[in-house]
Amino acid sequence: MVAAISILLAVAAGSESAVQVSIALLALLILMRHGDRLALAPVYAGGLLIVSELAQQAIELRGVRSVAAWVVGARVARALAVAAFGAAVGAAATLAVRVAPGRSVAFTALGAAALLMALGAITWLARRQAR
Amino acid sequence: MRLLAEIALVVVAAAGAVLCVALVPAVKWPAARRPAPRRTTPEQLAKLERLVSSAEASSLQAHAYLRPLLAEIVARRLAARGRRLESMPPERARALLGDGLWELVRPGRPFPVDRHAPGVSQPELEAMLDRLEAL
Amino acid sequence: MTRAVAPRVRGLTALCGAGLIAALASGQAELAIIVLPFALLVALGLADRREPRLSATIELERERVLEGAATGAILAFRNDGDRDVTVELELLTTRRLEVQPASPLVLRVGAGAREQLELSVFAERWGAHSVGPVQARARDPFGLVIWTATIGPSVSLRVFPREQRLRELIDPARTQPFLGTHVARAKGEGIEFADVRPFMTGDRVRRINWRVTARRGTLHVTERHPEQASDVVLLVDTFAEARTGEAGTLDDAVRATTSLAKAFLARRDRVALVDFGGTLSWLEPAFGTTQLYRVIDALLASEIAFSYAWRAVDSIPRRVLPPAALIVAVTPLLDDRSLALLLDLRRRGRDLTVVEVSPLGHVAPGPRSGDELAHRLWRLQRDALRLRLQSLGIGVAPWSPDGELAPVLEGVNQFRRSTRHAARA
Repeated sequence: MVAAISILLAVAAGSESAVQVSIALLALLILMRHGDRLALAPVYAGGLLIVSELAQQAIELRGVRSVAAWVVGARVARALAVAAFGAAVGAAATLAVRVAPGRSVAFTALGAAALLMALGAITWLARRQAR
Repeated sequence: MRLLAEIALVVVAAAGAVLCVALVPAVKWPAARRPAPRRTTPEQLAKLERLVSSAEASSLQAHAYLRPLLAEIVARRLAARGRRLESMPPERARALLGDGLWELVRPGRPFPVDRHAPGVSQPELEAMLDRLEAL
Repeated sequence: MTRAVAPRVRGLTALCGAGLIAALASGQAELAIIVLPFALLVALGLADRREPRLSATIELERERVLEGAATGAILAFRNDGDRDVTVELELLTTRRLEVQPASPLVLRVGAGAREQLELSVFAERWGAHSVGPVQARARDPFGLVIWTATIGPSVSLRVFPREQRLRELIDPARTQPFLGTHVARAKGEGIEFADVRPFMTGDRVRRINWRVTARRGTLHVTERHPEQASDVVLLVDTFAEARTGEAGTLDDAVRATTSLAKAFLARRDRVALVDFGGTLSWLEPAFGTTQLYRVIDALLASEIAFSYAWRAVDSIPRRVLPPAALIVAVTPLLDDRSLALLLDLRRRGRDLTVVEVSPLGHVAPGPRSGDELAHRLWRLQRDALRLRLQSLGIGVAPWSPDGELAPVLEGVNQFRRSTRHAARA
């Protein structure tokens, strides 16, 4: 509830970063509440993405007087597509995790490496794009 | 041992993550809206605003700058009615202009002895302007 | 087009990073899974490097309008790329032009397609305006990359000042013979009706007014004004102005000058224009509608150019100030230099009248104590200045922009007549 309100406030304020923080908050709260979190995580992930995209679009289109046809629809359609794809990948990851053995240094190292690679790739793409 | 290693890995990963986030270029969009309407005071009026406060503070300023201005205004307004201040008997002039204004603009008013004495206060000036507008 | 990464990419990356770190630290995989779609979103969005190719054209329904009128505009966009583009647009215009619907606007143009927007442009103030170009901002399909460019042409829109119809104008002190072909007919012959009086020996038969004669029973003749024109110089003071926000005394001065120019030219007088201020420019005297358009074009370009330069009458070429011309100075009387010019012209014996564009409507008293008194003192000082000019024989018409110009000019005419009588007496 609190997180939902904070998302609305973030949209009202027009602050994109506030939206992300609120999404994170919402994610955290959802995860803390539920029992079988692992199974539901992909679904929540997809849902959160859609909420984030909608909030983002609401902020972007604020103050814009005239919106031609298709604008909102196309973006939402894409968001749904990504959400679905992400949920699917997440589901696959969930299966992999259930199968995988317990915690170990090797896995942590692997995880850290994967994390750094993923973020590094994103950063690289962002910088390449901006040049 | 294992715990330390894990913590170390997590810390390294976190640092790397923060670095990555910091390296993502962020653009601030300019607000770019019309500037608020400005009020420009014409120099003519700005000079008078400064004069009102300086004449209040210093009798020298009042004598040197405010007096000639008020004298000119009096002269012009009287001339429009075909009259001249110099050719009027002082009592008549005093009655027409009021004490404060007459004291300030009368011909032959001497330079103020005490230069640091206060000049013409705002209520005094207001009374003078009332008289002038009535002329 | 210029590329930039949207601000939220950083936020999303931080979100992903936070989730992944948390997952790593706590060993809870769901924390990582929940941020997975976001990471995918960012990666997919940033991977696409295709640049949108947009072009725009702007067409105005009319290229000349009167102040306060509106004209239509059509904005057309072509997308030459192979992808649909959603673009946010801002139509750049000069100040005091209002566009409806207002920017920013959002438009979606399909690949290879053309879209158009119909807008209405409302001209608040006279001037040489321009509409366009368009500042366009296109986003990639995920809204993560922003492409900006300024596209399209800049189309000029000339907005003419509002005028007031003037029936009566300032009568010049002296007229001069019509230049060119009609000198021989100038003696008392003309087409403008002046008076009807009883017949006297020596009057020409063709001037008998038969209608009046029949009515009154005795012979009467028509008297006409001689066909003479006069030279008028409109002097616009651009040294200084009083301005609040978007409106100022220069705006009013240009409107008044346009009304005067139109009326004098309609009366078949020759009109010259002098823009006297930080920059000095002029138009030599001429007749007719062409001159009216030249005057308006010159006025549209007038602006207050701040300058410390002191200008004298001698800076104005002689041919622009004919000796017998009536000089009408349109000024807010805010700058000592314009006052010096007026006094100088009078000293040289020129026929001068002043239309004083009142700045009082544009200047309210300041907020500090004493500012109210200063404002009153200012009004008194201006009254004294007006009386001073009048004492020198210069007619001053104090005009407030929300009032009519005609009655003010009538007052000046009366003043001029009375000074002429006084001079003769």
